[in-house]
Amino acid sequence: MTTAVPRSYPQWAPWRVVAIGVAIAAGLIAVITLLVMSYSYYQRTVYTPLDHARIAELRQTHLDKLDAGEMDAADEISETIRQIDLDVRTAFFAHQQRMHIGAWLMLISVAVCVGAIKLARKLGQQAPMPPEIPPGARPIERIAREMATARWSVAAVGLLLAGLCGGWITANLPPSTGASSEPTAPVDPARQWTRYHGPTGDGAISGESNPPIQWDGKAGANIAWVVPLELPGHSSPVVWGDRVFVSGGSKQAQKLMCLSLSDGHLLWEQTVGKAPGTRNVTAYDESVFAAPTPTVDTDRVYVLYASGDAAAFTHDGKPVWSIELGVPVNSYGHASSPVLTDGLLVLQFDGEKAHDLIALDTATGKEAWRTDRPVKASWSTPTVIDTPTGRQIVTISIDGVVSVDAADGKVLWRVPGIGGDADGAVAAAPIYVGGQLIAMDPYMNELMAINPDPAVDDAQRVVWKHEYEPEFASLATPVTDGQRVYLIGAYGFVCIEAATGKQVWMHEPEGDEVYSAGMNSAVLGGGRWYVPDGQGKIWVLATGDKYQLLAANPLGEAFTSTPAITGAAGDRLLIRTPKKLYCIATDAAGAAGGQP
Amino acid sequence: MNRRAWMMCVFTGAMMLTLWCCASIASAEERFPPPDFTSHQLPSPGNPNPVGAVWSYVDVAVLIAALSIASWIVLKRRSRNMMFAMTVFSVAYFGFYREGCVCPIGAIQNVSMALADVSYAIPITILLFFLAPLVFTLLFGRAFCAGVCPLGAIQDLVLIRPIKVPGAVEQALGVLPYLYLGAAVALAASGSAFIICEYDPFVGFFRFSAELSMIIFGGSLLVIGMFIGRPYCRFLCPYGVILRQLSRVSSQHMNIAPGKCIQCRLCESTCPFGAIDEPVEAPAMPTAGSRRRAVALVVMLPVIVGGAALLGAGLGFGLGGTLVGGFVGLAIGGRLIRLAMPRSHDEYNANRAACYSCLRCVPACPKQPALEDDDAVVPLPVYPSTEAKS
Repeated sequence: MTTAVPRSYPQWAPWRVVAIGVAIAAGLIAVITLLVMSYSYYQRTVYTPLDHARIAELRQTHLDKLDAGEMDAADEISETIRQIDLDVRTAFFAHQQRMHIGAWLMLISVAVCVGAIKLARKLGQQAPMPPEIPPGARPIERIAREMATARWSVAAVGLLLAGLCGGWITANLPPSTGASSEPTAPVDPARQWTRYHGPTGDGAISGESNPPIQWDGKAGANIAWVVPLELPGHSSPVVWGDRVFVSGGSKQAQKLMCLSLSDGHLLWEQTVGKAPGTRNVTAYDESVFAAPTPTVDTDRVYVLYASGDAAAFTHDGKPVWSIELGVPVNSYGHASSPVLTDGLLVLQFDGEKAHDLIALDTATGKEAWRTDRPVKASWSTPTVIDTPTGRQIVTISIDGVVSVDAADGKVLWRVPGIGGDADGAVAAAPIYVGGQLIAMDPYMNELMAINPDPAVDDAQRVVWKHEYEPEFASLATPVTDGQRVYLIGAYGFVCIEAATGKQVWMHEPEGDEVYSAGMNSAVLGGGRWYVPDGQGKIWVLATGDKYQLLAANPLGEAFTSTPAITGAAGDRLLIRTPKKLYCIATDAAGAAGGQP
Repeated sequence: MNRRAWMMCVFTGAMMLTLWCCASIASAEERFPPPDFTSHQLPSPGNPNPVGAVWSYVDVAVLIAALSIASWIVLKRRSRNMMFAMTVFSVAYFGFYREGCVCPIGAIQNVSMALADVSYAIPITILLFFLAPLVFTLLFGRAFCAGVCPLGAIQDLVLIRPIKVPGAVEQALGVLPYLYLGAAVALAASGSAFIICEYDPFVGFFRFSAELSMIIFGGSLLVIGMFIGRPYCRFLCPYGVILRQLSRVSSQHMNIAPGKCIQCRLCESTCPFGAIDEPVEAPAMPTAGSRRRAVALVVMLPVIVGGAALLGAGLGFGLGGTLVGGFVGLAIGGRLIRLAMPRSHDEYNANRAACYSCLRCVPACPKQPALEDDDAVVPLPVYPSTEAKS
């Protein structure tokens, strides 16, 4: 026999036994490691730093102590929270270290196990055996039968996919289909909360209104309905008739939602543009993606996101146009809300690179004009004013208050000197009172009254300018009742005479009535001033020459949006929190409401 | 129930398990805000840290070198052992060392996004990662799949006892990669998501960090991969869709027998991926039935594509949904047409589209040329009965 010895390896049998033994041992180690890691993972899910039951309990107690004014007890609890939090985090990272070591052990043991099995198989390998059937080609009839089976199986997969798609389509028919058939009741455009801070930007609707004075979100008192929102946002709700429009956004998606004002059920929702997470959108928290408030008119609702995506939809949710304006670059993320004027949607795009005021045709989304102004960043919303000499759009930014002609965007006048640096927070919009614009310089804690007449000499344009003692809440747009301007202080409330800038009264609650301003603006209705704080309460004050607190109503959760006054009689308040929308109405049955 | 039926049950169950894992949502993420009141040192993140430009070019150089070596092994050395060593290297370097990123499979999304969005500037290194395997496949067949792709390599390494998947199942599940590719391109082009990266089943192992659902998904694929060769490559890989088509027309490709096949059948059962075309006797001429079937399917192709496009449009993803639907319809229709008429072969050979050039079949062929290093070649078989007699 001269043929080479085949590798059937009978002489390697002892090594094969060794390989099998190694494979079994390594496999056992892998299984034990897997079990230990699984147990450790389970333990970690129970004691996660973010959802620790004891910490959550202490946090609530801490808030209760703060509400009760027991500061020493609150401090003690906060120290306990810190200690538990530190312990839990330490345990968490120890778990991570164990998991990391376990992963390496798993990898090595599995690699050894698989390698040993492969080696054992190779050592026990028999030489290739010739098949019993004779060599040669297979009959074509058999191949044809196999191909027929394959065709049917491919067709079956195709039909399965088609069925799944059909089922998905049927199950996800847009809610707008049903909603669009609902008759829309005639509405009075002047009494709709159509944009950020009310239809004219001064925090009130025209005519009579009577928003609720008292409610309690936790207890459900005077809560007409509350519904969850799919996506968070700092933006505020806007209203047209019986439809409430709310924008929401995250790294994954940007959406505009339409809900029924009567019961809060979702009428339709539409996704806008690409996922912001892929486009380097500046965001200091998850609500920033939808910081700008939408705006609505007779025909359409318009929405803008921090990504620079803008879109228009009919009230029934049909897309009209959408546009990508580019991601505005600024320190906190774009927050300026769009406003409407004469068939134009006006966007204030101030940032590190651009300082543009952009007007888009509301019907087509095409750019009508664009004005580059000599200013820096801002997070404020433009104010549209009608003066004896024509309509103007006034903006406030770091380095100046600028007015442009609403028709063509041409700069009419500029008041320099709004302070702040690139990280300053110029967010409060100017308001128009008695023929004067009231603008805030948050850096200097100043207010100024500006004469908007383009013919006025620039040296005479600022009518009055005062620095004030109480620190203003720099992000809050003031409100006015025509004679007085009401401003939120960082720790209280300030009333100023509109004509002269003279401080009428100022009050900073003390003791049990601690007030601390949030990021939102106040609104005015029924002769009352509704002032949100940073903890989820709305303080209701009477307007007038004296401080008078009527109520301080807890919602049960903090929010950053500005409330909206709505309803046929102006008797409802809409409050948007990051994940919910509340409708507050006097004599409401309770926290019913719900999501369809 | 016979053995094949049992195997099919196991296979179907395993596929359902992996699909379930794929669809399940992560139960937890190991990310939370850092404490701001201690000097605690934060551990390094789960995702790979950004690398400098130099390292990106080093990666490209290593990729091209690995492709060159793999092609040389496939076409010149024809050594299974060398290819095994190549797969170990790829898992070690592109997998565990470079943590699975950047990879040509994921680069599909960058390219799609760059084509759809002029404002997105695709890095040249990512473009090279996308193009290099395509060029090598066009020239030498799927040497990239054979031993360079870390995803294919890790599956190849765990393959212990391969089970032959029935042809009908292979053809049916072969539609899924087209669906995955279409969805990945559409979502990347629209900027919505990079699902290939998000649902990469093995990157979690390479990084020692992943959501639980992805660990289960990847682990299931590896367990299945011990018995069914390269399940991800065959039934999911979107890049494989492109490589299949290029490999069909590659200028060179691995052959089982370098000379004339003697039809000894020794290679018949060596391929774990069902990628060996068996000899089929040539009919005198196609039957009337098969001709009618083929013509009918060609006529129906626009209907299939149009219907699928309509379904895609109905999903509500606009033009992207329509195109994905049409693309999947085209893949199904094309596959049905290809299966309409049997074609004859006169020898055992690697199916150019499906063959990963792993070289498992080569040692079984007795017609191998003599090589200096003969470790890759099993000598001519001596059957036990013959040896016993001698």
